[in-house]
Amino acid sequence: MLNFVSGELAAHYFFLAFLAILGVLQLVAARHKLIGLSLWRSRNPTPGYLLGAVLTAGGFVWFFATTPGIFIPGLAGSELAILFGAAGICALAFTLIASSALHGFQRRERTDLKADGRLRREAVSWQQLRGTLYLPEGIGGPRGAICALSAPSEGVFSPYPVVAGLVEEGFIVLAIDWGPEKEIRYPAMLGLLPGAVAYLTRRDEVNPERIGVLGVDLGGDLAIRSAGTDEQIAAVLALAPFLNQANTRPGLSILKEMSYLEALRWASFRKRGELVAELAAPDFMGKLDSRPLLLVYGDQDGIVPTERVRTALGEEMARGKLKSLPGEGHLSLPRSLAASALVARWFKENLDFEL
Amino acid sequence: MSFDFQLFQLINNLAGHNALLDGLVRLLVNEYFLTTIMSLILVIFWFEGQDQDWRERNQRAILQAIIALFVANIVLKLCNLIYFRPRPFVDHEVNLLFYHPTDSSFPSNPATVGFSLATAIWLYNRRLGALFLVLATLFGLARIYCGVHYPTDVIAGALLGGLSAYLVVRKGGFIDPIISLIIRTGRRLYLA
Repeated sequence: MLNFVSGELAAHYFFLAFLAILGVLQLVAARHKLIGLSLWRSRNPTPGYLLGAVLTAGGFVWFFATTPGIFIPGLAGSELAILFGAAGICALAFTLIASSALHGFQRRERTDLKADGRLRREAVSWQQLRGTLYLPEGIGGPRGAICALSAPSEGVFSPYPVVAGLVEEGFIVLAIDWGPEKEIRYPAMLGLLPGAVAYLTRRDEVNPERIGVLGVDLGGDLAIRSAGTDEQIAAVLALAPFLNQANTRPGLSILKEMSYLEALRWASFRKRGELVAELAAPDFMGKLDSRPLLLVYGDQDGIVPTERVRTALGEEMARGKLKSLPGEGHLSLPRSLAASALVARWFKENLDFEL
Repeated sequence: MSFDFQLFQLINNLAGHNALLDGLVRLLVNEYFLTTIMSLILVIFWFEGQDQDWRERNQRAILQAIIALFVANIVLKLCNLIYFRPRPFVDHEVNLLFYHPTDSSFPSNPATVGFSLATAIWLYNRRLGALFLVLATLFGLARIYCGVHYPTDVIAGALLGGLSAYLVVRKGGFIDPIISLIIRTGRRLYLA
């Protein structure tokens, strides 16, 4: 039978365990860059180490300085285990909720800042296709064009600097809107990119022999699959595609990318794994023949680790087709300036585009 | 005089001469400090590892350590039902730096706890296991220093904890499905 002996002692021990576990979770968040567990905003881990050390050490100092009756018969093993477990659950729940509140606000601020209005844009609504067309200033003759497909959860990816980078290099960019996540279905999704290519070839400003596709996340899988079957697509660049169903179940590492509540929202798109399996992008890579293909991942990707992709593709396949950008994660990659520069440069080289 | 008591006296007679050492040992000997430190290290170890496979290995070690602790405690309770050994301060004049526990001295409960965790972790990770073995040994020695256990109580507790951990880790294949289920559930909740 459980016997907590003294309510005060039990409460003190619970609070010690709560503070110490809270501190340890901050140390873990700092060490493994888990923003989903962090209670500070900066990307620098130092505040996390400090906060963790203060909470953990402070918990012990407070307990031993203020708790009466530590050296009289007190809590036994079972009671301690129960209190430690309960404190652990409370500390974890507090951390996940507080961190979600902190980083949720932060992400909204960042997205708003990126949504600038410098680009010339046209809304596109043609047959089943919905999206936004971004055009460079002063178009002369027909130009290369890129069909861009974001992660489904991002909707249409106008805020990404990668689109601005491509337009600044002189490309016309058609950012395709997936539509609501719950309506994304296989094989209906296979019509998205051919529809976009057909739309672009009808436009006078577009050179139909210089159409490339850029896909992000699941959009990358679809870009590879579509290019494998549509020879009008001259080049494919995929940012952090999944390639394998197993990569859609990242476990704890997803907290490197987003807060816990965001992760739960991410998981609510349950069809993701199934769609990745049905798209079978790696099987279609071989069907691109000599058309250029590039897969880009951030080396901090918490969802699809680059090393796993390299192993799955094999060294030979990965050579020249797989690039890893330092310091970027799965979500930050399409928003990064380094990726934006790489994408613009790569399409310029591979669509043989002369300005 | 038995060797057990001679060894007990050798260690226990160190108590009461140095306030700093006594204070340090009193910190180690209570039920709250080392057990909480060990548990916190396990929390850190749960998240350790660069990839999922590495983490799974660590998480498996932690879950097996907890099961080993549970098994060792059941055996310890059974031992206490069968055999009661009075504490050293009951039959002898000792330097007592702790309260008077009333349960059986044999086998030592703290040593059982410490060594079951330490052995299970050591079978997976030598470095962390060695740290746990040091902490478990300190825990056991502190109990002798403070006059509440004989050396043989601690040795028996260490053997009981170690053996439980060995059996759970090396021969406990039948609990693998439960451990895998816990890890799978944790992964689904983005916590493993």
